[in-house]
Amino acid sequence: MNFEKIFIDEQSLDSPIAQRVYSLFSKSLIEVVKENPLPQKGPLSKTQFEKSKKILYIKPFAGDFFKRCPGATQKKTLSCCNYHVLNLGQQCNMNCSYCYLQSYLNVPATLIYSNIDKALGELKEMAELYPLQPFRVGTGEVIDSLSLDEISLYSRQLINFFKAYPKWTLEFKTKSDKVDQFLDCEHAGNVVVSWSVNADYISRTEEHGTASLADRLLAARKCADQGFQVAFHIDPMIYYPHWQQGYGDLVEKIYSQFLPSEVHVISVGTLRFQPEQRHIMRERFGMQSAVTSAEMFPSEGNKLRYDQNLRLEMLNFVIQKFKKNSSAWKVFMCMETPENWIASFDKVPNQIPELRQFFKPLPKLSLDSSNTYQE
Amino acid sequence: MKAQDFSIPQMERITQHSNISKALPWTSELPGLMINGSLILGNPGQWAVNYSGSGGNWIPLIASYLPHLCFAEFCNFFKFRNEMSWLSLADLAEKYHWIPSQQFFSICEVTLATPLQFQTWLSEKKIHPQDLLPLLSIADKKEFAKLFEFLNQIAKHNASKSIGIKILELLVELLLLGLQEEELAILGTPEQWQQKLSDLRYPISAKTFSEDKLFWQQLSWPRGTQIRFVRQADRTGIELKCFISNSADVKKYSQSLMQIENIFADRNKNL
Repeated sequence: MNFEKIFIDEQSLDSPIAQRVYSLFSKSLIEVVKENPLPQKGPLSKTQFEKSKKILYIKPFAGDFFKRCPGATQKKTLSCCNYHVLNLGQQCNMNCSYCYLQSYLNVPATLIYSNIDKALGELKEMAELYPLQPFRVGTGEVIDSLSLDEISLYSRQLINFFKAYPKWTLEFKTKSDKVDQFLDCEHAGNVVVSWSVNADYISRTEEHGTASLADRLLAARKCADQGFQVAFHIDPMIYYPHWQQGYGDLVEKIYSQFLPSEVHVISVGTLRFQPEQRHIMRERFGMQSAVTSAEMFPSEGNKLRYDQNLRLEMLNFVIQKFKKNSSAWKVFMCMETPENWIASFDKVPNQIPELRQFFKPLPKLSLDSSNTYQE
Repeated sequence: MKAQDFSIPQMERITQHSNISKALPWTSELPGLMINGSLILGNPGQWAVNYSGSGGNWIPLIASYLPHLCFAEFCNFFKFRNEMSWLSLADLAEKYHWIPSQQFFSICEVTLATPLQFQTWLSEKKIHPQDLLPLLSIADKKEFAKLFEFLNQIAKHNASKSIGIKILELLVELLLLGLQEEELAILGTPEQWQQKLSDLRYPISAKTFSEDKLFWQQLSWPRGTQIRFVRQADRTGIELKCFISNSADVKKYSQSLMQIENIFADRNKNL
């Protein structure tokens, strides 16, 4: 957490996170601001993006915290697993070459929102309307769920909140090994701590500043031992000359250290990104990277993906490796087309009993003018 | 623009100006435009209207002369920004619907470092700043200079906008991948050059495509059909053209295609 500058919006000064920041960082780094100190128009340049990882900005969030996963907006072309996202900040203190935030962010700072109470209020409103629907809520869409959690300790508040809604599932998603701050929390068995994991070679060469694969698996072990469900996202799978060896080893590490019953789910997906993202990736990481030098083609959802045959080969390799070990592993594909589901599983996800719960359509929700959710 | 923003304009004969006149096309039948002594539009020997004033909002005036300003032309304003401190480049960019971000101005800078012949091509083809983003990837000046001859070739062969920007990106990526300039030299038309560079940039896909094409083309397709092996986005496959005029034709083609279906199924099993 080597921030070079920290801004705190004056509206956030009394928040617990602001107090934590004062207790953790030198006062000389901190500046209280009345308005956005970093106005920005348009996409971030390479320099601005890199600097944004060194500047922390604590502020309240004015919009809606609770949203559907972007996969849900492409239901006509992709099979979606009903994931909802709760964004409690944005940017990440790690530095993966393929990170989509590179072309997504337009604020040159790492944001942590101070008004988590508002986020919990939104969740409560939804949870009380639909306490029995199996909503899955993840916090790791535009910020790593746990890598900065030692500052915010939001994990503890969320775990506590979800105790009241056992049908709902809270999902943390991380590439860090920061779990000690919540391991003592009582929970209702509905908290999934998930790790994005990759072949060791890819972790070392493309996932800069992340915890090593061994450390991620160790952190997962700690969570499983405390009764938390764990999950793994082998995503994005990245092609490189020895990919079969690399991903084979990864799968073996997972099934040698965990039982299928301990692992909530395993998702697999291959490299994909918005076409405009290729420019900043190339500018930041050059072409000697398995990501920037990848052979990508336009695909569903206006994203660049590997050739469909290669994608299927890579996905099937991992899926079959797990299935060979045990049919009890719950493996599914993330953001893939129904055609690829049929090619890999002979079925679309709704037809697979152990995955049906994830892909079952949920009621369409909207916030009307009276601020209530409508089916 | 308010009347008090500038003094009554004077007509002046354009003499020597070391600024933007040559790059911006302007008719010789109309007087040019000068603001605070800087020549915006015009040619030596021509008359120009010279507006002057310190607090003027000059954007509407410039826009009235130049309702359409392409990016390469905008770069010339950027080039002479120090001499035109009275002009807000951010406002000018927004007037023409560009976002004046740090990245946008970096593209201006790198564009001005390209050969003039290429800049003229950029202007003629109305190339957008986003299309030039690949140029930002080459930070090293020596490496950047390796591009010059190729950029001139794009202009010299009058590549279309879409082919030209694809070639540009392929060239940047291949140079960064460490390929030598000789390997990247132009071959035939711009379209053929693009195909050559694309095969170098996507070697695995190019090899698989050639092998698959050979495999599928040598199968016995129904008589009377025409086939073409093509890539469509992230998939490759056969485009089949046939003529059907009655149910017997449908039956004939279907039976024949059933054999191909089995081959497809076998290949998919091996994936």
